Amino acid sequence: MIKRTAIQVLACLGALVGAAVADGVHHVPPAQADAAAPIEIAARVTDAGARTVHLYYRTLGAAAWSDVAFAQATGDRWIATIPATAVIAPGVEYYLASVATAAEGAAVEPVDEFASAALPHPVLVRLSVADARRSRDLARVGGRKSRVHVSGEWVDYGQRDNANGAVVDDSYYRVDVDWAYRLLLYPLEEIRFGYTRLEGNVPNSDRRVPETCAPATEDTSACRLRAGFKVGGWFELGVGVTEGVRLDARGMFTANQTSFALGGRVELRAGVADGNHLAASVEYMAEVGTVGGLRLGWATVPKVPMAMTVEVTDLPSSVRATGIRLLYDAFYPMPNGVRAGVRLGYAARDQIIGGPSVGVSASYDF
Amino acid sequence: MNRVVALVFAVLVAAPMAAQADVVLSARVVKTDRREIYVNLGEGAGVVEGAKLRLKRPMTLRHPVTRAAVTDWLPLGDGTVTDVGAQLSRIALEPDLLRQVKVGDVAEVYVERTEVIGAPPPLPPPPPVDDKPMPVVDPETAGVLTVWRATTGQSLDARIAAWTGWLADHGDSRFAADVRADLDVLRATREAMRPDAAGRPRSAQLQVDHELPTIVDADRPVALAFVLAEPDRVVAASLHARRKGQPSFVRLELTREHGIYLRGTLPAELITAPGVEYFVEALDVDGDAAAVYGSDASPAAITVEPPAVLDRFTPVKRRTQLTMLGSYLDFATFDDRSDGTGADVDRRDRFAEAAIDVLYRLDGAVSGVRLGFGAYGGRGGFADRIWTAARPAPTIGFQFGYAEVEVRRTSGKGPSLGFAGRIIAGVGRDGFGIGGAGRFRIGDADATNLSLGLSGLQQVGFLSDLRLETWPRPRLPIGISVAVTDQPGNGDLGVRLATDVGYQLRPWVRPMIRGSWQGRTATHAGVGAGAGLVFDW
Repeated sequence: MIKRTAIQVLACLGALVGAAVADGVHHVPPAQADAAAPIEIAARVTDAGARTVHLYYRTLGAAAWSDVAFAQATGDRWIATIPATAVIAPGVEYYLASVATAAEGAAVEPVDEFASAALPHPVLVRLSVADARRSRDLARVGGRKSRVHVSGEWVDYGQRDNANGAVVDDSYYRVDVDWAYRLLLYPLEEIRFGYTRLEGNVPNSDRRVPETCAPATEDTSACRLRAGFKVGGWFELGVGVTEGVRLDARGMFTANQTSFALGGRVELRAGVADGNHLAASVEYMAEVGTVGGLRLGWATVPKVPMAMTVEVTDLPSSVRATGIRLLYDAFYPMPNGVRAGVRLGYAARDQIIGGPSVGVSASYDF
Repeated sequence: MNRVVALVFAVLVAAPMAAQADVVLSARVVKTDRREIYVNLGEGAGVVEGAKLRLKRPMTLRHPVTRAAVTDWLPLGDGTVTDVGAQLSRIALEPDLLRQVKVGDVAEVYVERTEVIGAPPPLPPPPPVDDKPMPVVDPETAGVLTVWRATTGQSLDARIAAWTGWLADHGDSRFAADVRADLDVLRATREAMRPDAAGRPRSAQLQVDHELPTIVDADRPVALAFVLAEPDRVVAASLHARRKGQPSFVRLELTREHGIYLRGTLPAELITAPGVEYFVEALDVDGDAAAVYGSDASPAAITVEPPAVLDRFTPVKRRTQLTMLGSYLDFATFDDRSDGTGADVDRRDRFAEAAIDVLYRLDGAVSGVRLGFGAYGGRGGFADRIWTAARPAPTIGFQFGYAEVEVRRTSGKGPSLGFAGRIIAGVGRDGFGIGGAGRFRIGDADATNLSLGLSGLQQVGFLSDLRLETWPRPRLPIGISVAVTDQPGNGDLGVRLATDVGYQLRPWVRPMIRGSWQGRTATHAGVGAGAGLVFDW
């Protein structure tokens, strides 16, 4: 009984409303819209002479409503348009209200026809794939498109000697200065120009100091090799294979100890360069050597992103035996775009002798 | 032998008595299909294939005397469970019964359980004595109540027959008008439940206008609006939605506005790749419910864009784990053999290793990546050799870095399976060397699991082990392993039995200790120890 009564009451209400609707506004809301394109809101208005229908809209998050009156398109079909300037991701919201036609000067309250100011209807606004990606990428770097970066590092593989007592250092330093610009023209994400200086001294053999060397001759070129280069310029392209997977490819020109030489570097990275990521890289510089590395970065420690790197390398001279470097980096990003970093590590060409690596870095995003 | 039998008997007698504690569980029909229905109880609740169930539909009636609303059940029929999943069960039904059953109907399932029956709870204290006289019920009222009690839980036909019979004899009763009204409801309900009722407008003919979103971003709610084509025929409507691939729908409210609009929202938790599906069900003025936009068999679908690779690297707490571990193993602690002259001899055979690594956990098939550094040093490696100044024990050392990727399979009914592959590069006394390691794991890495590992390293040797990890207490992880190795320095084969015990001191830190016994022969054996710290960020 109660069920029947309830259904009857609801049915009566429905019939009343249905009757009202038959002379009212009928509107099918759009499912979604493209960003920066106007949205045409259509409605069937069957008693247009008795009322004026208005569209009230605002971008999601905005406080104030804008409104526009519906205009007749054909027959009982009326349209109003949300302008492109308001159609911004993630959405726009609107409602329809009508004002009954009254005597001139009479104050008439608008009546909600679809949704309301308190409960507006949101329309999802979608960016194009590239625009959405660009928006996320820019948000990740605080809207800053450029970065200048400088880093310096001292790498010590320890002192090497021979049976005659000749001692030669096995160490080098490296300084990198570069400027990167985030183009975000996918798949090309970034271009980077840089300068590198890398110089060191190493024994002139693969492991130990040559057996023919003695303390008196340990500073000669037959025993001690000056390695590296003073000037190296490079150009790098950062290609976003997909969002979150990046390939950096670098071409390099160096003025070595005796001649002009070429070099290059490739890094494949998944994740965020300044945050959580996994990267594999190979760098080659003619006569100077090759570096292969794996790096894991994590940003889960509050305010201090970190990274660990394992490198297999023969730097600073391809004459030298392959060794390993185990590196730990910690960074401190600041709100103004400055990011400072320190590096500690260990380098060795065999298990017997090794040495520390220390470095500092700084970058500024603007 | 008799003693053993007696002990076993004593233990059995002392154990709590097990007994059948069968129960009838109540479930809901969550989906109807062409040949079967699904209810939201599975093997987790004890349902088994072949279990009997009874289908009912809840209905609200007026009490014939008090006119209070009373909820009663309408029996629909019986069925048998044909398939049981973890959370759902499938029941094949005869076509006639299947046409009557709707989403939301109740299914009572008979479940057999073996449970320990404890002592019965104490009886509640007796209520205070009520001295008030019992109400007097007149014969007319008593007759109505008798029919009411007799029809409770009966079919519609039985109720209609019973009340029609009572009305024929009591047409002038003061209850007659209410009973006639109730009979109208019962007849209308019976008519509505008749699937092939001719001439009756079908709810399936009701329609809504709706624009379907084609593709949306994950994890953001989606607002939907539907426009009723015949608003005067629709009493109420609801939205049913599910993630694509899920077996059942969840019911969501649709709010009716301005008479013709139904508005609702797909919540963010449903908006995940590859998509979300939904349909709208409406209740018409006849009390009949049917899908009016899409259906459970053919729902409307929205594609949800899969998350970018980048999203898998979003910083989340407890995803990063730093492990520091050091251990020392001596193979000759108990080797007191002399050289035949009675003099002490040097049979040293030991090694130590230390490592620090960072694990970053990922979602999906690649469940983690790890990068670490380590150092290894040892001397000896042989069971029967005596070291002298002329022939000192060989010294082995290796400093290395390593990278590891773990892949995991969690789908399906079985335990999770994982495989971790590791490459190792380092330098030893002979210069650069490489190695590798692999570990196959059955079970969750952070819970009970069994794993088999094999590693090999130039200049050092190999180690293979079988390891069981478990958490007997919430804060107490324990690992037990058996390993075979020729370390240090590719020496004689030996076996190592090790136990790790940890303690979850805080959610982010867990110290652990390790003890081991290892030997290459019965006389050439020793002990080892280790300690470690695990940090979770």
